[in-house]
Amino acid sequence: MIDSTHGTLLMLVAWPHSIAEIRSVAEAHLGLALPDGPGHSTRRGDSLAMTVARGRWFLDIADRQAAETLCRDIPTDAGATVDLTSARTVFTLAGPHALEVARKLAAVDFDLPENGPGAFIQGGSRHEVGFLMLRQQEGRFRLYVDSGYAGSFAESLDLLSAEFRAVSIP
Amino acid sequence: MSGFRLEDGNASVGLQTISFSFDGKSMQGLPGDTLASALLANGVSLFGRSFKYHRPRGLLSAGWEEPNALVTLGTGARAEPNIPATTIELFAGLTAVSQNRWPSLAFDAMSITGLASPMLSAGFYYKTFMGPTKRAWMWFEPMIRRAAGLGSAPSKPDPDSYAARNHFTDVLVVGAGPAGIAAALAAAQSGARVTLAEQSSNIAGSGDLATWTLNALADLKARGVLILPRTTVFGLYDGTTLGAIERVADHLSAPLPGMPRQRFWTIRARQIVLATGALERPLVFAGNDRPGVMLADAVRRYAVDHAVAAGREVTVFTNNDSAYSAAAAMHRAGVRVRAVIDQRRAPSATCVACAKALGAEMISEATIVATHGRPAMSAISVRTADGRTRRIASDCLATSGGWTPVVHLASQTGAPPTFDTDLGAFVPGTSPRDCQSAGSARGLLQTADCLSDGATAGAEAATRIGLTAVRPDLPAIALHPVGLQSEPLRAIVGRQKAFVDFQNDVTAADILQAHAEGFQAVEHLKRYTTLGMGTDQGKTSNINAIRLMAAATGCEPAAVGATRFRPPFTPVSLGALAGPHAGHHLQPARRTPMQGWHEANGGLMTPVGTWHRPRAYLREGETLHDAYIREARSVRNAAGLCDVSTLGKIDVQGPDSAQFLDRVYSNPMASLSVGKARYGVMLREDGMMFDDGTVWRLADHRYLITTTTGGAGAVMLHLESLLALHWPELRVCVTSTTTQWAGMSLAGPRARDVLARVTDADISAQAIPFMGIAQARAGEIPLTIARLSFSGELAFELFTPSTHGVDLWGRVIEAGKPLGLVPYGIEALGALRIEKGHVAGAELDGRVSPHNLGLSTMLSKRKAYIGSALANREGLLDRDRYELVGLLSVAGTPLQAGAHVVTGSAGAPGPSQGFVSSVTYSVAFDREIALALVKGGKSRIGQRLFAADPVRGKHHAVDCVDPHFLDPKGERMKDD
Repeated sequence: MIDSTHGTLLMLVAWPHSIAEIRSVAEAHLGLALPDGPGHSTRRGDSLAMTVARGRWFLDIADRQAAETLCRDIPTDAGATVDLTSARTVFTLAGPHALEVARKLAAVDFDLPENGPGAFIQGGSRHEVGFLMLRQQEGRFRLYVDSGYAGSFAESLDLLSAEFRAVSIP
Repeated sequence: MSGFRLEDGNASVGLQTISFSFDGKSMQGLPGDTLASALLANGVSLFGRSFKYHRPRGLLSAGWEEPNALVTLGTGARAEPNIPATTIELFAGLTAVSQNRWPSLAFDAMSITGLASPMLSAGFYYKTFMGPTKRAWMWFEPMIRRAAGLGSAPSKPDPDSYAARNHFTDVLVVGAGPAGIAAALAAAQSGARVTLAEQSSNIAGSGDLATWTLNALADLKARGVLILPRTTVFGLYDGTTLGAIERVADHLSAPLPGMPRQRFWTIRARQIVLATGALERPLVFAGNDRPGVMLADAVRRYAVDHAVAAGREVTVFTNNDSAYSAAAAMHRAGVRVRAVIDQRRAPSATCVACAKALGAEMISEATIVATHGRPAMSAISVRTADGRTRRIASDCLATSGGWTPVVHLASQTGAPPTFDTDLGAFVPGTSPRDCQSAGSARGLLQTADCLSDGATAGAEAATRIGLTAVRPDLPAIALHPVGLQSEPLRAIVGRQKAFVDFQNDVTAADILQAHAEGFQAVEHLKRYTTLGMGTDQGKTSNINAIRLMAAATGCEPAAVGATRFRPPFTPVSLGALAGPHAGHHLQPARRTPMQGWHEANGGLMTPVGTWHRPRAYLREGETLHDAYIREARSVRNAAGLCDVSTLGKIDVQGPDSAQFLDRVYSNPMASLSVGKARYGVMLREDGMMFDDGTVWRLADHRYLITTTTGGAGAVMLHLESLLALHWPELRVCVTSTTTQWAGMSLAGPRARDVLARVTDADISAQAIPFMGIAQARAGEIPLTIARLSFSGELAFELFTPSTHGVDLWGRVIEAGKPLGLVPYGIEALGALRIEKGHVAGAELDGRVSPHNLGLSTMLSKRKAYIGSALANREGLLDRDRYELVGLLSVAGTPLQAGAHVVTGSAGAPGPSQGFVSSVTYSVAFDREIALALVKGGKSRIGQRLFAADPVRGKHHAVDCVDPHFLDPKGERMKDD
């Protein structure tokens, strides 16, 4: 588990009648196709787009300038952006037992195809701390956590993974 | 009773011994032993003392149903009481002690309570020890509690760790007996993801099934089936969610580094197959609790599985055929079976032949009327069909009263169990479509039937999730006799007690007494007699009690009913329930960006919800009181800086935001100009105060609202709920940005001077008037400035992205030092706001309306808003309602929050007129002051009242004053 660097984190919201318009504006700015349904993600380079709900995306944008222009160019009568760059700390959970730790962390059936690599999972909680989880690979997860809870969350992850550093269990 | 190790038992061949101790005595056991089998092999017959009468008790069973042989395992912090010796896997160095005895197990002085047993019968606590005075029970109760009981909980912190994990599976099979393994095979071979949980450590069939079981397990593993030994599925909950405890390290002297002691599994299964088996039930007869009286299948298991004979002369006492199979197995393992006593008039020819083959005397239509020996059994008295009684030397009595399906989990599906007359026991009712019972758990007694039934259930589970079912190959198993006794159970009463519930010392006489006194319904029976309580939850006793009650009332057992089989099936340790949520992991800690600075600079931190905030910054030699007064005085006289990052912050955007906020707040928000902030009040639908805070209009369609620290989560949920459910047509989005922003309040008459040293922006009163907002920079740090004041002083709230928080904080501190600025904590913050009469959490306790707090003017008459329909109802406007007032301590002595406000002297206080909500020492008035909610408070201003705190023996004279102690016109904060 490592505390990861991240780009500009934005919540992008489209009003119900202007989802297509917002999608178009965002994709033009980011060069990144926004994913369709909740639980899906797309990636281009180091930038990520994750669908939180219909007309609501969580963006991790590597290009700060592109993020700024996106925020500026979103028409207020079509949608909105909220900067959460300082509100989230990002962790990468990886390694041979990462999936086991993830199973402890979230009540999610990781065996299901819809929760496979590329899946974006929210609502998981540990210590009642909400987090967003992007399954990047089979055993690699990117976790977005409220930055106020980051210290506790890191301790918690460390605790959850403790048994995998143990000697073999007879 | 004198158990011993069978010399030619397979289990004992070539195995190294394991040293352990029981009650301080060193003994040897063998790998594969349980503590019970090892003690039995060492000739131990006395395992514990009973709960109430302290009667000597030996082993009854060989499994989780054991009611008698409870021990405390381990020592010190790892001591765990009330563990059945029958479930403890032996390991080197194991230390166990017996319980509920003094001074020793062999000589228990408390067994004298047995003499008082006539006074301790069913329901004794309702009718005895109640005199001679009304307080007699209060005197007797502690003594009775001390005399009765089980083990003692350790007083030291648990040193072990506990893990928890989530698990999803297509088919969960509970129980790895023949039916369970067959079910798992069928489901797995059909392509399902299967999980097989088994509470014992050893999943290995015996006899005819040994090879098949071995091959089946290999097949299951090859198919990726998760096999969980040492795992008890203890509860079945809504949505096919089950709780299970895996005992990861209980078979070791201590967990290995990093290894959890136990793991809590939350299992979500699409289909469940309950192959939980059946428990043999005891017979109820006089003297049936003497050590040496055991269940027949337990005697078999000790002999076959552990190569331990439970006695040298075993007599079998039964009312059904299964005991004959057990006797034959015992015999094959080397146990001498002295006699078989069958209650039935004419056991089958097969049974008779079996007894003959064992060389055992066959006595039919007979009963046991007494057992003899002290403390362990050495003989029994048998009354034969001709009415004569004869004595048989025997040190072990293997009894069988039939089999009771384990229906606990099945009943938790919501399907009540039904009574099977032939079986004499309850079987699972009609389960929902996602759950099936299989094998002996639903009353099948033939192994071949159990195998077939399990395979059918596994295949059906696969079909129900859309797979094409495959039936596994099953072995051919010879049938064995399963004849049952179908007559109603009647206790065999003699001079000795006939126990029904061994753990709670409930006798057949107690059941009959409960019947005679009208406690005949099963729930009444349970509570009146304590039947089925305790660690075993009546696994061996409930069905016998129900049948006895049925016989007494002349009804069918089904009419008596069964008590609810609540989880957990077996006790679950508190550590496993807590999981990793222990110690400082009990709850998460939320840190502001500046917390490190606070801790490094004398901040005395205190939890505020999950946040940690500094109460004050203590200097050397200062008390908390000294520190907060110094800080508050600095704010009044110069400047102070307070971390307010914990305030809830919500970004509100969208073309309909103004309309939305107008509906949410009681005062107008649509009229708020861009670049201005406004205090706002939110009500609940019942018109009571919900939360308060500020609304900042950052742009035409963008607002930042702040909430109280404690109310942040609830307000966010409230707003999201309104948008999602009530007003989905509004184009508004709300996003919590609490941790996006670090917030600090710079307050005091020199605040502007300090801020001028931090930013080049124009911060004049003209540029940023009271309640004005401006964007600025402090060097490279972006800054949002708002002229808001909670302290009543000239003040600026500074918000910056949290990654810049500590940097900005440091800059302001350094810039302010020459001007007398100090950091101040929440104690000073509280003192300052009380002087101003500002309400906070102590006043916003969910029971107040704006009319109580002097905020009636915040209720708009021109618009509708949440709570407007009920905000002005008659009761809330009552002239005698609680109203916020200030209190000045007449003598200057400290007042107590929570004290009653009364009229009258300490000797003759009048009725409560209200309560003190917040107290502080006021630097402005150099005396103790308070805020209080007092009936008709405004009309009492100028009166002398009393703050009475009878719990602490305080009674202070106070003068009732306006709650705005300081600067009621707000001239200090509105310096422009």
